[in-house]
Amino acid sequence: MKFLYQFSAGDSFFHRLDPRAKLVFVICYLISAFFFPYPWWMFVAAVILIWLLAGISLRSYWVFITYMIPLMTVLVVVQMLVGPPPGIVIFGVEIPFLSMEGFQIGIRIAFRLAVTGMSFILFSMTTDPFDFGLSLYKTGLSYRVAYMIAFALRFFPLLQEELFVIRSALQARAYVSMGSLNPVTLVKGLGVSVVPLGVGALRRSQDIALAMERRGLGFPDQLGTTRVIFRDVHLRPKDYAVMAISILYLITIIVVFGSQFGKMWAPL
Amino acid sequence: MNTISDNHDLVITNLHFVYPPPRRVEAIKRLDLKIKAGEFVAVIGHNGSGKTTLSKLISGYLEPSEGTITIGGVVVHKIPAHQRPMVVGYVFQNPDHQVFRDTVWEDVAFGLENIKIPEDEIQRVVRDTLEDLDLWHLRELHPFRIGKGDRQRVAVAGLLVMNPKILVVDEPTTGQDPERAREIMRLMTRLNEERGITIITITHAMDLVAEFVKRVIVMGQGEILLDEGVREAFSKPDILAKTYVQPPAVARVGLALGLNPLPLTVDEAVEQILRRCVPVKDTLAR
Amino acid sequence: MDQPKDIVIKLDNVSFTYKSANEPTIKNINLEVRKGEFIGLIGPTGSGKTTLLNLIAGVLPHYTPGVLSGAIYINGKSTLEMSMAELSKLVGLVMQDPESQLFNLYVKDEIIWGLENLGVPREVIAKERVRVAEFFRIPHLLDRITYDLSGGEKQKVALSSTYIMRPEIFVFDNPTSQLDPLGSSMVFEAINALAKQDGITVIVFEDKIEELATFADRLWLINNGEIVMDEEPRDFFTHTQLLKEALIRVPAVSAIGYELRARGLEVDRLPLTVEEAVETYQKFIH
Repeated sequence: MKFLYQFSAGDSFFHRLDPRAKLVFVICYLISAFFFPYPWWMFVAAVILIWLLAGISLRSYWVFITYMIPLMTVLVVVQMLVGPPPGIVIFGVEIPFLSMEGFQIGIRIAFRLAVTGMSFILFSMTTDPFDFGLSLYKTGLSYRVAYMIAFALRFFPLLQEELFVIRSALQARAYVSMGSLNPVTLVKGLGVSVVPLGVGALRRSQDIALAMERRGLGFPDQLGTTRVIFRDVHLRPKDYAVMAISILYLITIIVVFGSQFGKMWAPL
Repeated sequence: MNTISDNHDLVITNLHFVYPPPRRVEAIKRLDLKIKAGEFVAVIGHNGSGKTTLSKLISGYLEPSEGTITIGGVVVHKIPAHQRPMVVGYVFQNPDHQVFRDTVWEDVAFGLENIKIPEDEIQRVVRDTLEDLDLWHLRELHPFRIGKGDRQRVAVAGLLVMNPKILVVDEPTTGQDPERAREIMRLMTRLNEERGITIITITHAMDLVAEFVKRVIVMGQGEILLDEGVREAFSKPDILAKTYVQPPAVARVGLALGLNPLPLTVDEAVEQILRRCVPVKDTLAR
Repeated sequence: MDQPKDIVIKLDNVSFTYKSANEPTIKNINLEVRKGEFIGLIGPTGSGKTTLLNLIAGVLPHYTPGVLSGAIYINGKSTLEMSMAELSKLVGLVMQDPESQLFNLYVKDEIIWGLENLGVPREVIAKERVRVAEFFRIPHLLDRITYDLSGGEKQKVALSSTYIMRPEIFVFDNPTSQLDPLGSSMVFEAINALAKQDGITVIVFEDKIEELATFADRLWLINNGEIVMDEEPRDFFTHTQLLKEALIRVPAVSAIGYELRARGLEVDRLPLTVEEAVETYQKFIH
């Protein structure tokens, strides 16, 4: 079962970049979406970029998009109801309670949110969590912390699988929340599922922690050995190039559109 | 104790199941199966043979790609989700995944609360079930504070209160010590005999299958390889080998010694050997 | 401490009480293990078996607090004088849950992780990875993702990842408990290959007594926190009263022999395996 945000190995340009270069790229792209006045184009561009640079087709993360659509719709609708007059004009008729400005603001917020999600997908689907951890370690983070971050990223998809089992077990007790359209039920169901999920994770984490200590997570401190990293991550010229281009791009966007910062929500 | 009297035969016709994309794995190829009300059946086979998929299809968690599964004539996955537990209950392999309340009592009552049973009836049913499953003395304890074997009984109790006609039990013996595993088989036998519940259990413990179960369904690579009585099935080691199953030790000895009918228990083996003895006087110890 | 050179593990009047417990979980244990032995530990749930194994491995009292009286000597040195890190290098520990012992993404990274932490040079790591993968016959698994493996494969990877660190003593706590028959036999095969190596001492706790009896040089029976028996497998199963008290069943193939003896047949040697049983009982039938 393929999970959301799960790393999938590949040999694309993006896969081969150092995690740090990817992170810089993704963050710059993300921030630029908040300055660019038409973020839906950035969303489309993201889909194209992911396909071109990472070789991942829309179908792989389509599920994520289907989760996003209701959320985005709600955002737009709320803004439309809350925004100032004049109202939207449809077929020559003005609808007073649906604000046009609200609509403009809403779709911008919605798509910026979507781009945020896409950025995260691009990063997590093309980055081996342990390469990421390693790059953090090389940047100065302690090995233990860096390793734990990587481990958490590796583990996260598996929690999804367990959550699925637990919610099926809830169904077996006539508690139906999975697939419910009522957001309150959905959230409540999630709440009930968290207890067995949490306890299971807690138990397993104790066993895992012991196993990690047995194989030497603490050896450098406790025995004075010097840790060797077998598989390494290096920043290569193309990584630096990507980082430089990303920052340059971001600066350009800010310069061009930053003067309209106050108007970045609804250019009128 | 209440017994289930209406017809709740399980009938599977032309079942075919493929996992949806991106997995797209063909888990069940072509399957026909009939399990009559009140039977006690074991499903065995290698991991990946389709046993778990089949049990989830029977319980309505998965929808067939083709074919139908009916219980008492009603298509299973069409039964509304909140009513399904009263027709078929599914005990998941890990009891830790099925704990939802802070005390054993509340956890067992959980299902009944969800189907809005009146309070006094909940009290009665939960009490009866807890006593029946030897859990009454644990009712105030947190389910995570009791032993795993006890927690498994709590999981069974939580499903039993909803009075299902069929109980599907997924690997109840895996990870249990031999004594506890035996207790679980005894419990299922009792539920089957006293309440008439159809029991379908997935298990890897062939010695327990030989001792407690009458009919065995052998799955391999998404198909049913054998569907017959325990003795017949264990007489076919070559077919069983295809799904990495070995008959229990006693049966293997029986097969090698050519004993017929094939012994399944120590007592049966002893009787058979004695019956086949070379003139008894020559081998009697002095 | 002056002892014969080839005793690698010695327990000298060992008792252990967990921090929050009122009484000791294990009491007055005296045991010796010689270099290269394969010891099987057998006992019911709650007998203190995990505690005993964890004491030998140095998990107790270093990792989980409690009071230890008496002493455990590994290669003549008391475990209280060593840190858990040092003990981790001496004693490899494989536990029962295949999901909790692998944490890297790829098998090839998991196997060498311990050597990275030990600071072993890269060229040596590369060679060791090949050697260990070939020894346990898993080179085809190296590029796989750890959580996609079968239970048996996971346990083999866990064992390989520990073995690569070259401990001389291995402790296994119910390694096949969660596995199907195929996985179990894979793991038993791996443990046996390991134990056959010169100088490797192995202690295994298992519920699957038949298999354990086949491979072990000696069996310990633990019940209520005490070692009740310390015998070779063939003698081990003759003490029926002690086994009964510990809720341990004699292997079915031996039980047949017991009963035949009771009925007057001259069964000279009680078999432990199916092959031995066929050989032994063949004589009686025609």
